[in-house]
Amino acid sequence: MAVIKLLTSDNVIIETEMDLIMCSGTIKGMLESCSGDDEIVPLPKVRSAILTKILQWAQFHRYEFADTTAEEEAENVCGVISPWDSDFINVDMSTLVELIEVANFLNIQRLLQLACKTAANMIAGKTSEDMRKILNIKNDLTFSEEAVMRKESK
Amino acid sequence: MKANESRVHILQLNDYCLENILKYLEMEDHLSFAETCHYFRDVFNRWASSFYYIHIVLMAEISKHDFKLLSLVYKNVKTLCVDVDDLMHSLNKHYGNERKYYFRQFCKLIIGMQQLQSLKLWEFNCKKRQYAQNIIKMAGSLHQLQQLEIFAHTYFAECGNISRVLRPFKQLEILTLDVNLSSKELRRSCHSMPHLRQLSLTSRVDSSTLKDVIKDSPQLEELSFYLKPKAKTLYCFQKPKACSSEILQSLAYSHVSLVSLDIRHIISDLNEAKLLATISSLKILTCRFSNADCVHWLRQLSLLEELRISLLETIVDMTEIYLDLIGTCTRLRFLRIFDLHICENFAIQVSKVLEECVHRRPLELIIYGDRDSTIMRTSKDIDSSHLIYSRMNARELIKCFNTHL
Repeated sequence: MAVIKLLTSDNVIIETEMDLIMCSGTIKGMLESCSGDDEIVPLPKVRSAILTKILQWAQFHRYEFADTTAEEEAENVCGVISPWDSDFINVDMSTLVELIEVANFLNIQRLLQLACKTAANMIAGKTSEDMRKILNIKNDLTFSEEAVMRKESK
Repeated sequence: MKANESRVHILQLNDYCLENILKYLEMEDHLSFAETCHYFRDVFNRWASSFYYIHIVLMAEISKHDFKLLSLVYKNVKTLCVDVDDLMHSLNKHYGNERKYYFRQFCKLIIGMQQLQSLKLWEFNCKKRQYAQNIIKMAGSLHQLQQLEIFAHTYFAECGNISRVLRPFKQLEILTLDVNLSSKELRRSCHSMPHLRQLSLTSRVDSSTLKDVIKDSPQLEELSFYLKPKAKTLYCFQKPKACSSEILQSLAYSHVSLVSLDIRHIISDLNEAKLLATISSLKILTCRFSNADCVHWLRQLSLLEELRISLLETIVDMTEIYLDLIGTCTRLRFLRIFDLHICENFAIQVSKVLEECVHRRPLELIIYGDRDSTIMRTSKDIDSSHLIYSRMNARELIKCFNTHL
């Protein structure tokens, strides 16, 4: 089985089976445009820890990547999150954010939707103040911007 | 993996990623999201303006969140539907004595809706009827607005001088008025709208006013009206009837562009039907007849694509006339008939007529007759490539009678 080498941002080379990483639209596109088998694909935006995690996800779902389009994949995930996925995605917020970023960069729609839905679940029903705490954001809105519908100070 | 190894902060995610999070959230969460920080506010605004929240409906229970949402997205709203009674009820419920202040705030938002293209207002119950009028006044400054629909019984008669309120809407293309409006005011209002393409008047209008309105609206393509009966008709043996001859004449001779016409009163005079048939540009027609022979004239409308016809107060079987009409108007693709005396196997007969025509689009036929159970049973024998046949359902029936028959 064909093997591919991926170079991560922290200079780790990860070998993986070719068909496993084909869930990534970005890598699929890169491989179509290059010739040699021994080439190393550089992924400057992806840390090895995240890539390992993504490969773990791809391994579990490898036989589900039939010829579905990106839109269909996106729709598939809108339903219920499976117990395995739920366990897989049970990570802290900053890892989740990184997974979103990388899934988007690698163009893995199903993983992106899974991560986004999980992030949404973590902030759903929260006030803006709570959201800031969860997401580690500073409030840079002025009072009048924040209080659009509150009574204007007379 | 330790959290501090991560190099991506949520504020580094692009619009696409954050929009994918937004789409899994409810409206209240959207509001909290938008109030988190500048960046999220901007992402929310871009997303809301291109996909979400450009069509706003304020009806039934309007929550504080709805008002808050409106204050966030108002600049991008394209269509707005407001039940003014519900609006005032909700403002009262949420803000009590301060409701007037918040109504003024709401009006300010209307002025800021520079993308607004369509505004629909309902107001039936408010005792003090200035609210809808205020909203209309505010909308008068919106230059993008093309469509205005007002449904408010008895409202205009009490407020007076609504034409002054409607006059700023010079750019309007679509106007629907379900209000009691004096002839003078209607004339004045429409006079200031030279781009009017669609005009729908639900309340009765007198013939000479409508004639003036038609003269002032050279772009008119769709017209729907309900004529007042002539005031001087003797009321001894017969109810006074509306006469649309003058209107039809002016439509036939001055309006080559008229595509759609809905005449809401009942036509019984054969001459009126003849005149109606001379408006040769018509593609869509809705009409009500109380004289079977009137239908015969419609065969002259060769461009006709959609026809909704109601036969009232007649006892004749009209099958032959309908079949002739279907055979002659070859562009017809939708036909709705309300006729209690329609024959049992009418749909099968229509199907036979259509089989003889080549290169013709299939006809959608909807019937409301007296013996509806028998009519339905015949539908199995019909070739659906020529004819899509159904009985009129409750919704169609309501549409059919959604006028003062």
